Amino acid sequence: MTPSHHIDDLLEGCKAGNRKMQELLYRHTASKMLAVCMRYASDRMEAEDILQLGYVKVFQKIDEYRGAGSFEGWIRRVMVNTAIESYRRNLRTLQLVPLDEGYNEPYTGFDFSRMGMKDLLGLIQKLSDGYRIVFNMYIIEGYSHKEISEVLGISEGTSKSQLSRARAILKEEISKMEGINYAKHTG
Amino acid sequence: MQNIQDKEFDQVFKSQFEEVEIEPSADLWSAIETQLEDGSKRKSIFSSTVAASTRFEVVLVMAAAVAVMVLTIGLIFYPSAKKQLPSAAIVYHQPDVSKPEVDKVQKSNAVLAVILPKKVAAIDHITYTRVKAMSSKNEGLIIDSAAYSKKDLVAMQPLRDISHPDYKTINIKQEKITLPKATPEEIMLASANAGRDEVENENAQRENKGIRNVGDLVNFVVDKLDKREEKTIQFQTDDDNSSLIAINIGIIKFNQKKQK
Repeated sequence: MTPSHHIDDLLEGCKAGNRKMQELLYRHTASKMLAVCMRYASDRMEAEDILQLGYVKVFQKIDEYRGAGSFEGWIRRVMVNTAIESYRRNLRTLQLVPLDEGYNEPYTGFDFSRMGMKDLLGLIQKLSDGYRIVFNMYIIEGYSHKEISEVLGISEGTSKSQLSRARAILKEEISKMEGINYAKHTG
Repeated sequence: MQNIQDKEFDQVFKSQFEEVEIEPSADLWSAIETQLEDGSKRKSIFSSTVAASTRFEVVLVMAAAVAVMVLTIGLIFYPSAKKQLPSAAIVYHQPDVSKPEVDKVQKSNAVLAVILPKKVAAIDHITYTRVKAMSSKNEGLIIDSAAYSKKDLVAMQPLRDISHPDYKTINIKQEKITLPKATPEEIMLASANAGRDEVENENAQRENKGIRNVGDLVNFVVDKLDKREEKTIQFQTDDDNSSLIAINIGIIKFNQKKQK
């Protein structure tokens, strides 16, 4: 991000509706925000749609930013909210799975921390909408289960079960990938 | 991996995505810019021009629909309303007609005369008068009845029973009868001529009155242009009002005169 005095200038310019300042703010923040959107979307095209809608909202509601917290954090929250609204607008039902639904224990034995970001992003994008949103909000953005339940209109228990199920699926998928990698190395 | 705790698992993911940057497509900013400009334009245009034109169209359609409805109702119901008037007039006078007949049947026993009061006979809506006279040596049955158009016969229903009595059931005392001096022909002629004179005088008066209102003017113009017996449009007029009595436009045909 640009130095602090630059951010203040951009903010003032954007509040005044200066198109050049808006573009400058976009250039400084868009790549980080697209990374956020990519985690909430199932592919790049959908992520860029969310990004576009998110920036339009940022410039339309920029007067609502009162300086509490970082400006970048505020833009990030706008992007997350836009992603959630996008699911609702497309009438996607959050695929919620009850806690007692059994699932296979993941195959284990390898250190997945060596896996690259792109691999993990691919796994997240393969999750169903409900799992992906709860997983991102809780683990990456740091929302509590109470906050998630309020935003998504679900119970805290459901939020916890979604997170638990998402973790299990990811572990299973990672184990499969590590197994393939191990076979390649040894084979 | 089974041994990896959830917190550790979460931390790996969080650290992987903390500082990630992915460059958006080159044309994404121009799309955002366009949407920002369109958004401001759409608001002003949609709230004024588009909405106004839509409202104007709705008003036009509603006005046209009302005009068609009024014309249709006028064409359908106006002539039928006029047709109801004669029946109503005759029904009103009916009791006056029936009472004297019954009295005459009972008192004279030989002479049955059914004579319409002058007020009823003089009504314009009665189209013709039919008189039947029956006579014999010592008894005479005189029926001077008015027959009306089909619709009027319904109103005159009680008269039928009275005008066709079974003379066998009537106790006739022929010796005591004093025949009336007036002959049936005289009565018939007097009655029929009186009605015709009234009609002829009225028509003559109409012709002499010239163009007094719009109905007369339309009749005059139509007479000049349409030489047929059934005119395209014809009005009946008096001093104050003019009423539609005949239409002959293709499918729509109406003639109050003929119906009578």
